Amino acid sequence: MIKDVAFGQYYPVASFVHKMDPRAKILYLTAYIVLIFIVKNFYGFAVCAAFLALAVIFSRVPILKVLRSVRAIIFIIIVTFLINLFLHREDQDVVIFNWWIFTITYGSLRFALFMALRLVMLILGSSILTLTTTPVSLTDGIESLMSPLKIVRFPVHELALVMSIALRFIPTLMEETERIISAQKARGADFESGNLVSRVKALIPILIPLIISAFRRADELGDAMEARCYTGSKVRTKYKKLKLGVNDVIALFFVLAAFAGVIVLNVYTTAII
Amino acid sequence: MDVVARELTYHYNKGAKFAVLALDDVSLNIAEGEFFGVIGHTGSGKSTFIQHLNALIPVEKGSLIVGSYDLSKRDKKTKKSLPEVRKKVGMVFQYPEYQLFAETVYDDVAFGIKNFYKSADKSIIDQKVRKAIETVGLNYDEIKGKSPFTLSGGQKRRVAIAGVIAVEPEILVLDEPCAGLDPQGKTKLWKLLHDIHKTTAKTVIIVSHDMNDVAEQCSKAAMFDNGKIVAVGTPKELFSNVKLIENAGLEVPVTCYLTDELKELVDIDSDFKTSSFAKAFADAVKNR
Amino acid sequence: MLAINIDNVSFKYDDEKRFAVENVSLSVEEGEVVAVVGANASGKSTLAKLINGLIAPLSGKVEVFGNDTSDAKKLFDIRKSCGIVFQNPDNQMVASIVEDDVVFGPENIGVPREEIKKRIDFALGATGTEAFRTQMASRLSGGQKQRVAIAGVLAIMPRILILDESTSMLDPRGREEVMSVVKALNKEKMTVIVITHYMDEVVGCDKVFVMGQGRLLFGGTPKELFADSALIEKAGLELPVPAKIAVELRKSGVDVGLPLTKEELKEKLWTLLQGN
Repeated sequence: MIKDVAFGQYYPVASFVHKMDPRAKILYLTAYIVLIFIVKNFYGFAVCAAFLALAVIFSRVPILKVLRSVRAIIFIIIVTFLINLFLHREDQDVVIFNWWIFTITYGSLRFALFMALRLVMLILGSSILTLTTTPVSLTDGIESLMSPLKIVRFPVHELALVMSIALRFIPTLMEETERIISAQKARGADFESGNLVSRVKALIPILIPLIISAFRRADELGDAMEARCYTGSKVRTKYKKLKLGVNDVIALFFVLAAFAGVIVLNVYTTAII
Repeated sequence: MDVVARELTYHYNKGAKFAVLALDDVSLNIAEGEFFGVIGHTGSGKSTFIQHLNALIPVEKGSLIVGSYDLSKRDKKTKKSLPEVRKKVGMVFQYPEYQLFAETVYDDVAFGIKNFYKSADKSIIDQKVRKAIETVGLNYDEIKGKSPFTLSGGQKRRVAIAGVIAVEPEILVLDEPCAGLDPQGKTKLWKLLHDIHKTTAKTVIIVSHDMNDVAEQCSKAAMFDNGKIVAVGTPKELFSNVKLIENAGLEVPVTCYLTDELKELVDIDSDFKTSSFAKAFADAVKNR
Repeated sequence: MLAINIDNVSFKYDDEKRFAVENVSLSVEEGEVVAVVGANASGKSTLAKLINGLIAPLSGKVEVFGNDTSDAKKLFDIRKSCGIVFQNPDNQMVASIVEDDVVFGPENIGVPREEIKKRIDFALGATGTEAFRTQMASRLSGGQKQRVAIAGVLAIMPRILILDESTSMLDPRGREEVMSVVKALNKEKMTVIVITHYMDEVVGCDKVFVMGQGRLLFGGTPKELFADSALIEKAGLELPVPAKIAVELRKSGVDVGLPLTKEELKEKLWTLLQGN
């Protein structure tokens, strides 16, 4: 069964961004997120967008694939947009539209767009990380960045393994869900009509088999891991050593440039928030 | 109910870069009353094809008529008739026991009945559930109150099949019904499927990997390869061309292998069932 | 040398009344290919878990190359020397990318980095999966996935390989891929235990054990097993297809004995026709 699963699935090509150290990518993403939260106007977003565009180009991931990640949270974006559109108020504002309790002003429109854009930029940036980094190296990166916590006996390795396995099972469980939905549809299940209560009830024939299957898989995976000598002990070695490379240094320059750009713009242009 | 497919074409992920052509210009008739085999290796398009039969996959191009329903149409009337189509074309997926969900065997088997016969009263539902459970060879009174998850693997599969035949479909489609069963479980299931064919469903359509089984059990079969149908016919017609079977990436039934290997010495004329092959061989030896 | 020695072993799962395995004794020589058959829930898979030390016997003794599986200190060595490939390839992979998954075992047993690389090369090579090294496992076919699962076990360098119904979810092509890998490994002295429902996988084995309701019903060669029609019936087994044909032939008055492979049957029929 060939199924393109939505958000965040690793896209296997060899590219500049793919070759970067996952730790660098995680840190740069964090920096980028800080950036889109300190941006004060649309000019700043232009800088972020330019940075993002460069990242997409050098990741060799088709732009449509990157954009598709937005679809996963489109609902949240729309809701946020609408809430801001109708509820945001600014001093000395120009009303564009007014009906019953709904009022849109020039300021609220601008603000709502701004916040929606921020969410879109956030998800696009994050999806570049997951699209260019395999779950394992992502968790390796997180494990390595969190390793100082080992001193306080925080189970960093276990946490990383759990994350990696969770990511590994996303496509499997998605496929399974689809199969169960088809099977129950064939038995006349109706997921599209009825009121809220009956719709929620209609989910039971999907959720129960799915949960049971997840438990069965977990059980079998546990046996398989144990049979492959997993004990979580300290003898464990690590095959892949993370190493910072030229790519990471080059990318750092772009991150710094974006920061400089945003700060300059924040100082010299008018803020809208 | 006959199935008539004409130039059926279907892509997964249509429009995307990774679009996959799953069905390529498939035309096929399955007449009412057949015990029909759908064969081909994994990814040959056979599963995609059968999911068209009860509109789980919409027709992308070409036409598909099942009984009096034209599934290629997309108007409101066709959409409204979907539940009817799904009622008349029962579909048993691979490892159907993984779709059991209810607290009791009774509730699970009744699920389809309640969905399709919305106005049925309790006594009718009772009756249909009992009949389905007994048809699959289980003891109704003993098993109806049990949780399906406490049953053995073979029993679970029977319960799952009961849930589909309880709706009394005219066409019963099964995807690899024997997968994972032990030899005796397999033999019993084939017998059960023939029983259902005689009593409940007029047409039975079975997806199978096992060519020996298809030669032994089916009245007719269609061979898929690469999204296309490469051959249709009775096992006798289908398996007489060894090259064709091999090219489709399938194993050749043993009877058909022997017929082919021995053809220089003797002409064995059989329909490739083991018993008729043996008789034909014995006759050929006598007549030499 | 004895690879596996099971001596009067019984085992019961906590939540079940019946013994899953009861008073079973059997042994496997190093380098042998052994089949274990029997109906569903006859105790076959429990046997595999007992050998690998995933579960310990309630009574009796399981030894793998002389190491007792009840000895907690030996358990790690036992698991290293005895790998299991399970039924569902999807449920035994910990990582999304083939190479990352194969690495899991060697990392667990503390193999140094340089050595791991060699082991990956070996494991992928032996299973013919080099081409998938950096691919997503979820995009592979069933047979390919299961070969990757074998590679993941091979990277630990076991001396015994147990296939616990590893081909039951595969199509004939996938089954053949997996079985030919197994045959090649056995040529290199790997001891193999094949737990299966497919009688044609039994035919080529050195020995076959039949389980029924937790008990060992038979131990011997495939030829001996298939000659015993009462046992076949009792254990819920069947004859391989060529043997079924031979039985039908006998009913029609043609006696060719009980050949187990199609090639053997063909030879018999060929000779019979030429002598005619």
